[in-house]
Amino acid sequence: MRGSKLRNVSLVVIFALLACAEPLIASRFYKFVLALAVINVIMVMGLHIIFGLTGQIFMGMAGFWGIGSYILALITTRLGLGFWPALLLSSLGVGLMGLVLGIPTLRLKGYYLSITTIGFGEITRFILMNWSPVTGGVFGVFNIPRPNFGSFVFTNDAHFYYFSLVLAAILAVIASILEDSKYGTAFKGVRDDELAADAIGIDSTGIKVMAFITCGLFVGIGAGLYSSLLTYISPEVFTLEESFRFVTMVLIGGIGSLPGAIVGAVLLTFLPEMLRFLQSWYLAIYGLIVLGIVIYQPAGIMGALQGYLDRRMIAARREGKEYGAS
Amino acid sequence: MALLSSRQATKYFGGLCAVDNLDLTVNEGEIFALIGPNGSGKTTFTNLATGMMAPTSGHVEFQGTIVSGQRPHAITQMGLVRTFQNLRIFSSLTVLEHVTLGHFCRTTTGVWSNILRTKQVKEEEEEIRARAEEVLDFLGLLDKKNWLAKNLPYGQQRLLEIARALATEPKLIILDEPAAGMTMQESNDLIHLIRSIRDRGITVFLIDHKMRLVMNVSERIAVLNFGRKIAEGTPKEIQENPDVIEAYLGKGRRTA
Repeated sequence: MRGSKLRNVSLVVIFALLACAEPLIASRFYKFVLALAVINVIMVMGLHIIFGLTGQIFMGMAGFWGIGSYILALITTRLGLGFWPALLLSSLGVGLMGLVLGIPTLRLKGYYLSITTIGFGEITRFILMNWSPVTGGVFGVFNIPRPNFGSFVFTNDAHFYYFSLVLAAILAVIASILEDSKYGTAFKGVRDDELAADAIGIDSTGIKVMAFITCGLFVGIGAGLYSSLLTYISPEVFTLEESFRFVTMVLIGGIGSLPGAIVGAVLLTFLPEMLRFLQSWYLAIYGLIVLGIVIYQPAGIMGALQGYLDRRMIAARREGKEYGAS
Repeated sequence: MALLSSRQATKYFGGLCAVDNLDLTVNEGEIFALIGPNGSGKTTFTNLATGMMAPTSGHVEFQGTIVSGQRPHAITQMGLVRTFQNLRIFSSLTVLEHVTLGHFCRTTTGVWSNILRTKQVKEEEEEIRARAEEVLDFLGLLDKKNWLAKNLPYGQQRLLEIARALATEPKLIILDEPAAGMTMQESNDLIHLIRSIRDRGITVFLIDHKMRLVMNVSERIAVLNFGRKIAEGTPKEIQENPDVIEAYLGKGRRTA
């Protein structure tokens, strides 16, 4: 199995597993973590497009996440708009942020871009914290509504979970179609060699801005769902550490692979919660696990799977030849 | 008719003059070669013409429009494309994807129609695929279309770069040392290839060191030395020009 076929099969398996997981988890807390994992899945798909496919090391995910969460929270609680228009606006709002941030920064390359985007994330957090009249400052925003279909409201966590999972699946289909389109090839071309892409008539800055906007549209949806799941948000969540965590999700799953990013997101949502019992040792152990994967399996989980399948295919071919000889 | 012309194009790197008041004219439909010793400014001139560097003074015109100083992708879209002296292959793309990506700048469908997979998108994809396969067939790479480009042998990677450039549907192609690292056989095949590129109606601007290749294939040659044009003419004229011989071989000791 190669490329897009392996991706599609993996996506179906992952979403089927996620759909089955909810009833199997007994604890209310882990059911909540599972819902958070699906929200992270939606957001990491955005990072997959700008970082995994287009190769731009974006370290400001917490900024996008924070902006999207606050857009939904403020629009529903202050302006009294419903959940759906608010979710649409948080997606468009973060998408617009992608454009606004992308045009000046995407001429920067490599580490310069990452440093600038770190700055963006931190500035966002401080604005959310200190612009009290609008954002409520350190106290955050309360009473954010859950999504609804007419009078049916997703107050039940299980309902909310399946609702998010369906949205995530739809977005995964969109991300896959985009990846297989000519734009997907252009993203990868810009990642592999920007100068060569320019030389064959591709506006690589334009392609990067486009990837950045798409990233924002995805993250905005995940961020809106996040506000709604928690019904309360405050600015201290959207830290640099979270931005690093999103980048690590992509790396652990296998950079450039959509199912990889998704597996990475689920894993890195559960891992910190499951290591809580270690208390003060937690960060050290968590760091070691991440480091271990990055050093011993640099192609990530999907890279390892691809390698395993390739070896099996070669072995099968060899066997076939021997049968042919006898 | 002049397709590409350079008017007093000059490029300084600090105090070093890499291209010095260069006047060149490439006519439509010809095979033109730019030669010169290492460091004589050939690749710098390519960079000026394709927007990778801005000239210090002077300019380069393509079809009567000043292209020097414009952005590279815009120049390619106008029909002036280049290949690179050091290979620049997209390491994660297949051979076919390289060529379809070359067609990207000639496609018209937008993002939304691509996500909705409209009829136009499917037709466009079908057309690009057919064209890409035609270009690969032309270069003899069709049987390897599903290979990852980085797994091709070196000589074929060079051909793939030419295929990718041809896919942009250029009027003029600048080949920057296409024979570098090629075997004798491959560089002989290149002579036929360059002629058949021209027969497709594409003007060829060739930069190379290999005299056998240049003298065989080109109709007009300009010679650079220390950024200055020291000679221009037919291959025969160039071979007999004493300045060129001196630039390449050094000055002979005058013996009494």
